[in-house]
Amino acid sequence: MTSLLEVQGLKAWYGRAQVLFDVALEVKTGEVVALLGPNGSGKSTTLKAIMGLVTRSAERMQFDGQEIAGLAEYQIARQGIGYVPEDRRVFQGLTVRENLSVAQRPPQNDRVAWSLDGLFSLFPKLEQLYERRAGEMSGGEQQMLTIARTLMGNPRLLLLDEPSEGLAPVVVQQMRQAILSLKQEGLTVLLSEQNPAFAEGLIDRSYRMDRGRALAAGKSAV
Amino acid sequence: MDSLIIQLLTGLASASSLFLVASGLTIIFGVTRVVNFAHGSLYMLGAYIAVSLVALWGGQAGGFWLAVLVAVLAVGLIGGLLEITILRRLYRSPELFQLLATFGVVLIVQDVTLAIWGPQDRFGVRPPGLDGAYLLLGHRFPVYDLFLILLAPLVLLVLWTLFNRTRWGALVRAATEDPEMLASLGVNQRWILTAVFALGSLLAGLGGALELPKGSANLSMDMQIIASVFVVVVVGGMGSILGAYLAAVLVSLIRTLAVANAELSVLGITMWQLELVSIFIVMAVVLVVRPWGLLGRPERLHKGGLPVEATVLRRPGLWLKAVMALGILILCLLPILGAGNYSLYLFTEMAVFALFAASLQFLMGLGGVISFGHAAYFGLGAYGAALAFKALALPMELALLAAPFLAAAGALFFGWFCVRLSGVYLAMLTLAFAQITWSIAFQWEGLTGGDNGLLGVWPSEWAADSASFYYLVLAICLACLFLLRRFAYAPFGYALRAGRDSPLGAEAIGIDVRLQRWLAFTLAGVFAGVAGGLFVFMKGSISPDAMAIPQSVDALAMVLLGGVQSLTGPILGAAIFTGLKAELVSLTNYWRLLLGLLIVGLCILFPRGLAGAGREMAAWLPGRRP
Ligand SMILES: Nc1ncnc2c1ncn2[C@@H]1O[C@H](COP(=O)(O)OP(=O)(O)OP(=O)(O)O)[C@@H](O)[C@H]1O
Ligand SMILES: [Mg+2]
Repeated sequence: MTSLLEVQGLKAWYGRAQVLFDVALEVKTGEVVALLGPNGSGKSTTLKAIMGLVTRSAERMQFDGQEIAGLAEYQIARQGIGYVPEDRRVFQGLTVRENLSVAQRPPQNDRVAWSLDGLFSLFPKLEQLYERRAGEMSGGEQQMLTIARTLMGNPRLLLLDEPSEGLAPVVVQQMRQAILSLKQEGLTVLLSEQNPAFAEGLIDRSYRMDRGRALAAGKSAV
Repeated sequence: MDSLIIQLLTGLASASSLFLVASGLTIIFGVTRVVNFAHGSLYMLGAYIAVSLVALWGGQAGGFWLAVLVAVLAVGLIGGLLEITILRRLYRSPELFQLLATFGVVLIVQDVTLAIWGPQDRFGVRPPGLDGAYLLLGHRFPVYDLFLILLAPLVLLVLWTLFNRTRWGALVRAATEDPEMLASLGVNQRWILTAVFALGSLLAGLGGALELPKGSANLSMDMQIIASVFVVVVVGGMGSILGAYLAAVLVSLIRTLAVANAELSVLGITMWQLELVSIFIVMAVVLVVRPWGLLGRPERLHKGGLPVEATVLRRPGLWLKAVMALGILILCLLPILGAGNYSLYLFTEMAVFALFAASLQFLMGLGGVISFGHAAYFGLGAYGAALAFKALALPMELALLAAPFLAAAGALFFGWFCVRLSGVYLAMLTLAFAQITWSIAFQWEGLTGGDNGLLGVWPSEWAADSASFYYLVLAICLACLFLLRRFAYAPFGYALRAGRDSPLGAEAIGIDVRLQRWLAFTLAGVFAGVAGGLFVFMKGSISPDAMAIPQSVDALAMVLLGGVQSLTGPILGAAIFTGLKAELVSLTNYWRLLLGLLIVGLCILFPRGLAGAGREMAAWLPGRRP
């Protein structure tokens, strides 16, 4: 398998405070890789740093063989990286339809684009709520919308920040199911997760994060 | 009854152009959070460009409308360029610097317009085909007015559809809510902001071009409309287009009724005198009842947090005290050192404005109360002194004492309303109150001399020569500055800052934040009034200009230049600004252009003011911790 994302020597700062010190990780095409670790260990920051949302520097940050460290966030997204933030940042004033439409981008190469029907079969709830304002939906529904919204951009790599956080057990199961089917579709995923039960059976590999550093943990250490 | 209906229709017609301009401003504010002072300038440009193009092509209806279309697109383009060259660099700066930069643009546009079109008013013509009149209820009613009445709801509908029914509209609303998220979905939201700014500018241009057939293009229309437009936008709720329409209609109706019944008088005040004041009264009433305007939503706290950075006020170190003592010594020795009359006059002016700026800094820096209308209290002080001198025939010494009293009365009254609000709405209300005092001075000719103001207000015999007057001003200003310092370090000052940084926390430990702010507002007014009183004796005259918007912005510029967070900052800011302005005025007729360029340049280069830049530099010096 070829490597889709390769990161070495990644450092990141909030203001003057350094949060990531020397993160190295690799995600191969078709893999689902998890970042595990305690609160505040830098999982979210790593995803943000890849996306260009925090001040960062890296010895090497390649996506599909292209250096992305110097690009602005919208350019990184256009390279084919989709980012789902942890705090469900749906556009509250927009309807589900509008949330999906602003994120729509054509797929690269000649891959098949996500269709609305495809998204609805992944998250059936969204079809019923299609004209509902996002601000008037439950937390779980909003979480589904953020993922569906990012998929509208037809990414090749999905960065998923704690997809199970704050969801009821039933919804967590649905979410897990959805990510499993994304995996079967061949989508590459890098996710952060604190809940080992959620990751079990879903992920191929994991990294354990600790105080701003990532250690490869392999398959067994989940 | 019939004539009332005609009056209402006339009001609706004049609401249209007001709505067009206001909708542009509200859209720009809603998306970029920039309070764009230059919006009136774009309106003025729309009128001037249209007048030139109509003169070229306007013989026939087709040519006329082509001229309007081109003028409107040109203004949209100019707005887009402004966004790319200036505002884009300022989105991360504190809001006040954005505001100051747009005011720099106002100055630039004024001189550019003067250079291109000259000082004469340019009169417009009615568009061919719409130049007639209908006979309506026995009155002649212009067809063009009917066209305007119908146009506004049409534009409202188009804008509503654009924002709510198109993908572009959804993109704009998404960018308003969470620009970073939108960017990480692959949208280059910078261009959305540019497009929004261009659209808003285009609407201002359209307002200007369409107002032209009813009047003229002239050099004062930018400041004239901006005050009304601010009122409309605030009354409607900032960011709400429908609100802007309702407010434009409300404001225009009230105004038209006042003009149509000009001779009617209530309690000895004629309606004519109430015309200008009335709309600001509407605004004050609406804001007190609905602090977010008719259709606005409560302001969410900005990512940047407080309007004023919360920094610790350090007591001056020994070396700073020494420098200050040396400075004061030099100032005292100036006349002895042989400074000429002109430089003494300049230093007198600097001292007056240092006090004015310091009083504003007290309010903003310590109280966290942003005022766009501090000139009101400066002007009240000035008029208080001038009226005591002229109307009551008091000597200078007593007239100077009267100054702070009138200012205090004004600040007490207006402050009561202002401290009930926060953020942009508060700032806008202070502006509205300044405009009220301005209108009163402007329209109460019997007392204030109207536009011409009061002349011949000279100092007493003993203070008549420039050195004595300089000493008088220096003594009073130093004493007042010293008092302001004392207030800042007194328990009152600490309570004020506690209320600024954490209103809820301060309330919880028993500080009545509103009361503290009200006191601060009044105190700031008092000291501004003292400065105003000195100003009138320095100039020998006073006119409403002393409390017009540019005067308030000058004070803001001085404070921001010197730094909001230091007590010495505004003094330096005032000295630099006053000196610079005097230098530019003596240098060229186009001093506004230069001053504007300078302001814009400073805002871009030093987004935290000169003092902020100094602090940052000091932080990099070896051996000192940030
Ligand atoms: N906006 C911010 N400003 C300053 N520091 C921050 C900010 N966000 C996070 N941090 C700090 O950066 C460190 C890493 O935070 P991060 O959010 O990446 O952790 P995490 O592993 O995602 O934690 P969690 O499991 O709680 O989501 C923490 O010490 C946190 O306090
Ligand atoms: Mg996290």
